[in-house]
Amino acid sequence: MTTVIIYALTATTLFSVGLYGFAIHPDLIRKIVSLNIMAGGAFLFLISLAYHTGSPEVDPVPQAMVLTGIVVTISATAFALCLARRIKEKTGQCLLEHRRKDTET
Amino acid sequence: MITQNAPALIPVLYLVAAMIIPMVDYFRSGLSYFIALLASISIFGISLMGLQEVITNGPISYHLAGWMPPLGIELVMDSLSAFICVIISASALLVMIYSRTNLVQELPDKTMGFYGLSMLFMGGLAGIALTGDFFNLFVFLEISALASYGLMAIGVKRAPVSAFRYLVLGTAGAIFYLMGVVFIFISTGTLNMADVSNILPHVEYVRPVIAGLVLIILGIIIKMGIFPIHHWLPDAYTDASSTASALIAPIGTKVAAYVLIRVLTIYEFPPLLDILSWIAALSIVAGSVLAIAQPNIKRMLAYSSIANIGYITLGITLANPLAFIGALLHILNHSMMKLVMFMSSGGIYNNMGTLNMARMRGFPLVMPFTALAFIVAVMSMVGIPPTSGFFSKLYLILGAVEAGAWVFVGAILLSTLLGLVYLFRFINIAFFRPYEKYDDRMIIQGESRKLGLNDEDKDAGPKIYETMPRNEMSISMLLPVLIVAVGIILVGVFNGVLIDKVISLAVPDF
Repeated sequence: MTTVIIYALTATTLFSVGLYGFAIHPDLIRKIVSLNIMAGGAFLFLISLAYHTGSPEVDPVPQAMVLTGIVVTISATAFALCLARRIKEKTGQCLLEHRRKDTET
Repeated sequence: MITQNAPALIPVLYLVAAMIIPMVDYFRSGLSYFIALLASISIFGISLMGLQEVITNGPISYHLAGWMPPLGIELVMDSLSAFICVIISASALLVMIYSRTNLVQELPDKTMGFYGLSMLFMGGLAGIALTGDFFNLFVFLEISALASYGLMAIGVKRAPVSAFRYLVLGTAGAIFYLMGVVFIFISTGTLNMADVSNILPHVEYVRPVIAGLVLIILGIIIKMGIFPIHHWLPDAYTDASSTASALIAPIGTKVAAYVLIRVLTIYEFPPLLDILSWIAALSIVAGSVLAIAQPNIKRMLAYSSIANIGYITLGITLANPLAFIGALLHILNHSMMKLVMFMSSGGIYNNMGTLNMARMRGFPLVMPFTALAFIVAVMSMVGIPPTSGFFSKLYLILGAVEAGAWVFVGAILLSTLLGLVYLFRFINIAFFRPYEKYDDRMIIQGESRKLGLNDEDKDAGPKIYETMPRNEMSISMLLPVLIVAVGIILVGVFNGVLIDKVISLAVPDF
């Protein structure tokens, strides 16, 4: 049982660390990395569920969910990196500035 | 035959169209429009047939690849999801008709990307509406979200930044949702929605369920763009191209509201409903207040979306049949209003060259039919009786009265008054002040003092009155706008029939 608790605690910590980094940093790449850490926490949590104490079999449903989730996260990350590159090309900086200057188009 | 497979056909056809479009466009550019239009028309037909079948014979269930429900993925079309599907496919069809001319003007070399992404987006939304599985919903949520980030990134110069902001928030929301689903999975051992709602009342430990629900709702709230976490929405809608915002604004957030209905109806936990309804009321008032100060018409509409998603959430969380009917009717109404408004503002941008409301004088002379449709949408937004907006607000207020929540009645009425202020500010500028070359010049020069219109006495030069030439939108852009405007009035007049025949079937037992 302790292994499950260790896994769950690690997963929650990862999730929280990711969330913290996501909220704090204005830098685009750091935001993307934080999101990936958050997602990693969620996936670790799922994987730790698949293991039942006492039985040798592993529940396949959480594992299938994790695989699908990884695919989704990878595509989101790839797209985010592409956008970050585009933003760098256009604005010359990789930051998400919080004030919007031009409200007109 | 078609109706029995409708739950699978609707999302799959969209996704297939999304895949075919890039392939065909590689050989014959220009064909993507026709593929998208064909797919939209056929899916609209299938949704209507599905709705009819559901109303007469009850829900249709489809098991993907023949795997039986608790383990396999189930697609369910009941009256609620059929209703949402018809809204999704109808607005997709209308925007596809509209997009033809608009895309040529705004994004001439990106039509293939636009149509491919829009089909993907629609496929994701239809999948969200039809799926009966919590994890499959996450996948469809991400499909539609990724496509919408792409659609939003194709736009004015700042669009990638706005899209990125939406992307990080949306992805965080999706991870929250996933984490919540994991908690639900721990406590029930299943992902099928029907199964979950059967098992949840008998669950031994309640805390993980509540934690899961809170996480799921947090994720959905981010996607809905409701008040505390709404910052991505105005930027994203304003910077996207006209067609993309006309596609995303009417239905994107409503489908998230639909997910909220699904989640809230599987398990009853009153404190959560209370908190959500207060958030909704805040959103109603805050969205309306923020909309007043906006000079840009699309930005103003985006803030009014925040207020309107508040109405829908309030109707869901008041948890009585009248309010629920109001919420469902408002999903339809608000989609129609936003379709008209965003499509017309795209036309305004193309033909008058501005999105700044202060420079839209003489808009009804330049584009009379668009102005007529716009007025109908404004009337519906404010809630003037013959239009449909009046009835959804009426049901919401009746529902709030029945729940004894007088504060929320006040919030709805206050927001209606504020809506009058921000919408009629535009009407006042556009309709009741003649177009003057003089003012135009002054506004252009005095860019820093945005509304320096009262300085006319100070430097009273000879005023040059000049009417702009009539420059109506092309027929393919005008037609969908007029259809929806007529639809707003028809839904208003025949709302009793609509509620009896369709919406009352979708109301869950309270």
